[in-house]
Amino acid sequence: MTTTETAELKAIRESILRVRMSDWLQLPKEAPWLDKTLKAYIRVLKNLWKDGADISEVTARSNWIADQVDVRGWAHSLGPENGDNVVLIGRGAHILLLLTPPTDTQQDIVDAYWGWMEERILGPIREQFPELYVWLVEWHRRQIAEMAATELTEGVAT
Amino acid sequence: MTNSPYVRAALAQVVLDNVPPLIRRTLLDQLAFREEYGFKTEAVLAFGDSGFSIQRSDLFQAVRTVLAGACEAEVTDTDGRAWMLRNESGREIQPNLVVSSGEHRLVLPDFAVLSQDSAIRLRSLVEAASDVNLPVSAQDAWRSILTERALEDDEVDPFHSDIRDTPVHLERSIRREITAGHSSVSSLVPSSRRYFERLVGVYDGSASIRGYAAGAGHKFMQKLSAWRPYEGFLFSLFLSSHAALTAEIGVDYLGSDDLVRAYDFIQNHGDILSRLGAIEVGLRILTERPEIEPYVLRLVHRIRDDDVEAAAGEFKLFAASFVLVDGELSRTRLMSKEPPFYRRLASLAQAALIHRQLVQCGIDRDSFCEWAFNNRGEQYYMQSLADMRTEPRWNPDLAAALQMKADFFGRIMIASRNFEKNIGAGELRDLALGDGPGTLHALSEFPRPYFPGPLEGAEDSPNDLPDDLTRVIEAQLDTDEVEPSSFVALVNSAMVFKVTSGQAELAAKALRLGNYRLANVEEKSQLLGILNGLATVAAVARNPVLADELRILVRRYRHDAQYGLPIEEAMRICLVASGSRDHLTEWREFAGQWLTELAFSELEGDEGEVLHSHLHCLLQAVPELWVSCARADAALKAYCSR
Repeated sequence: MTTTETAELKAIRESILRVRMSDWLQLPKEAPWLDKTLKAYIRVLKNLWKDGADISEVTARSNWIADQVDVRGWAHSLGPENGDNVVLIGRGAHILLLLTPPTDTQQDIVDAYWGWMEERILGPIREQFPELYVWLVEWHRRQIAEMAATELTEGVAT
Repeated sequence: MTNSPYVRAALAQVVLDNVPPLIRRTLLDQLAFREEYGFKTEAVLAFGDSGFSIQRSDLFQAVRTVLAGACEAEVTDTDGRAWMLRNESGREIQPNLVVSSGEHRLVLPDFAVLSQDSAIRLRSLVEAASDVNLPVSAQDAWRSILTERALEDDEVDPFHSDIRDTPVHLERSIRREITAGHSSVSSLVPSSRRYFERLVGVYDGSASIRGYAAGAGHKFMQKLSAWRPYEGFLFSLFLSSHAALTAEIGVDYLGSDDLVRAYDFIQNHGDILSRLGAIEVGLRILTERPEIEPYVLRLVHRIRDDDVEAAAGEFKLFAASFVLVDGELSRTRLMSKEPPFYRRLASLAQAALIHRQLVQCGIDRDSFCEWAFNNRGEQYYMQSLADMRTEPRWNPDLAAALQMKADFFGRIMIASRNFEKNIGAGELRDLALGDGPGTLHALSEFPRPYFPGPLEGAEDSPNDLPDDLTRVIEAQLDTDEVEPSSFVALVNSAMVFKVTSGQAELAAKALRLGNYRLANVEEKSQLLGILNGLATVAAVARNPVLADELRILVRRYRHDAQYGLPIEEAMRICLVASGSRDHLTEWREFAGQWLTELAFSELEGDEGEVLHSHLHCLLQAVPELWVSCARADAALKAYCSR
C-alpha cells in the first residue's frame, strides 16, 4: 500500500526539507526546534499503532514518517565532528525513540509494530552498521542491569 | 541490601519483554547475559520443507536418549504429531539419526556433539572440520568444549553455523540452490565476515596486495595445501586475482596424477579466474612438471577464444558475478574498514566460486548477468568511484568483460616473459610470446593489457613516462588554442605511465588559459573522453588544482546546447576527480560541494531521480559523506517529490 500525501502533509514535509536544504538552522542554539520536530513525527508515528488499526495502512504511513526522521539528513548543520558522530554512532540516541513499543495497545499491535520497526529500522542497522547495533544492544543491557538492581521496597497493597 | 537472584531475574524479565525482539534475541544469545539472570532459552527447530518442526529441548533430549543407547525415542512436533527417533548407524560408530512418522522420514543433521561419549563427539568434530576445512582456531575452541562435555542446547546452532560458514559448505549450498532453480543475493554472498576470511585469509594490515600476498596470503595458501593438497589447490586458485597471489600457490604436495587431475578439472569445470591462476602457476612450474603443458596451452586457448560479447561468454558471466558480489559487500558494508583491494580480493574470489558452480550447473547466463547488474550494479559503481579516494588507479568501468579479458591477456604475456626459459619451442610459446596472427599480442588492443588490475588501484604505475612522451605532453599543452587534442597524450598516459603532479598542473593551466572552453570539439564522446581522462589525471597525480579547474569546465559544459553533459557523466567526473584528495575530510568536502552543486542545478527528465538514487548508494558506501551531502539529499528529495 502507498500513501497519498495530503496538501498539509506536503506543506509540512517541504517546509522542513527547505530548512534542511539550507544552512539556516543554527545549532546548538536552535537544537530544540529540530528536537521537537523529530519527536513530534515519532509521537505521531507511535499514535498510529492503536488497537484495531489496519496494519498495511499504518505501515505505509509509518514508512512515510520514517523517511522524514533520519537524523543523518541534518549532519551538515552539526559541523564535521558532531556530524560524523551522529552519522556513525550518535544517531543511536535518536533511534532509541523508535525502539520503544506503542503503549496501551494489544499485544498483536505491539508485535506488528516490532515487525515493521525491525524490518525498516533495526534489521538494516544490524546488517550494515554493526557498531551502532552493538551500541543499541549495550544500551538495553545497561537498562536491564539498572532495573534489576533497583531495590524493591516492601509495601502493602491497598 | 541487594535484590535476590530471583527478584533480579524477574525485574530483568519485565524489562526484556519490552525490548525489541531482535535485540532481545541478541542479548539472549550471549551466555554471559543468560548466566547473569539465570535465563534459559527455548527455540523451535524447523527442518527445511519437511514439515517437521519441534521444540529444540524436546528433540535434543530425545537425541541424547538415543545416543545413550536407547533403541528409539518418541517426540511430538509443534502440530502435536508423534515422531519416532532412531539411530540407524548400524555398525558405524558415528550416529545416523532418523525421525519418522507414518510414511514421512527425515534424516537429521549430525547431532553427535550431544553424545555423552567424548570419542563420538570428537570424531564428529574432526570429520566435520576436515570436510569443510574449518580453521584450526575454530576447531580448537570446539574441541576444548567437546573434550569436556556434550554441547548445551543453545551451543548446537553456533556449532553448525560455524561449519556452514565455510567456502566448502557454501559451494555445495550454491550448487544445490542453482540446481533447484532458486537462488538469491544473500545466499550467493554471505553477510559473514568470518566466511570471507576463510575464503581469502584474514586481512593483516598490509598497505598493498603485494604485502598481503607475501604475508597473510602466503600463510593462507600453506594452510589450504596442508588441509588437502588437491582440494586446497583448487581453492587457492580462487585467489588468482593478482600475480603476487598466484606466486604463493605451491604444488609441492601435489603428486603428478593429482596435478593433472586438478588441471583437467579447471579446464573442463573451472571458473575463468582459476584458469588464469592455473596458467600463471603452470608457466612457473613447467620445467619441473612438463606434464601440464598441454593443459596450460588449452587454458590459454579458452581465455583467448572467449567471446566477450556472446551471451554465454565466460568473461561476461564472471564480470557480472563480480559486480554482484562487490555491490553486495558494499551494501552490507562488511569490509568498510579495510582497503578496497582486500574487499575486491574477496569479491573476485567469491565471484570465481559462484562462477565455478554456474558453469557446472548450466544456467541461462544472459538472465543471470542481467539480474546481477540490475540488483547490485549501481551500488558497485558508486562504491568503486568512492574507492578512488584511496585507490585512484582503478575505476569501475575496468570491470567490463572486454577489459577483464585484456587484463588476463596482459598477465599471461607478463608471466610468459617472466618464465620464458620454462617455455619450450611450440604452440604455447608462439601463442604467449609471439606476435603472429592469433597470438595474444596480436589480439591485444594496446594499452588495455597494461592498465592496472582491480587490486592495483593504490599502486603507482611501474612505468616511468618516456622522455619523448613527456615532450609531446608538454608541447600539446603549450598552446594558444586549447582543444581536446591538447590533452590527448596526457590523458592516454595516465593509466599506463607515472604522471606527475607537475604535468597535471600544466593541464590545469591550459584550462585556465583557454577560459574553460575547448576549441574544435568534434563530438560529445570526444569531449567526454577528455573530461573523464582529465579527472583520471587529477586522481592518479593527486592534483587538487586540476580537479578544481575541471569542476569549472564541467559546469561550463553541463548545459551546453551542443555538448551538454548528462547528470550521470557529471557525477562520474566529479567522483573520479575527487580522487585528487586522499584525506577523507578533504575528499568529502570537495565531492560534497560538487554533488550539492549538481543537486541544486537545473535537472532534466529523470536526472533528479537518477542523481538521488546514485547519491543514496554513495551515502551507503561512505556514510561520512552525509556531512557534506545532506543538503544535496534534501534538495533531490524535494525535487523528486515535486
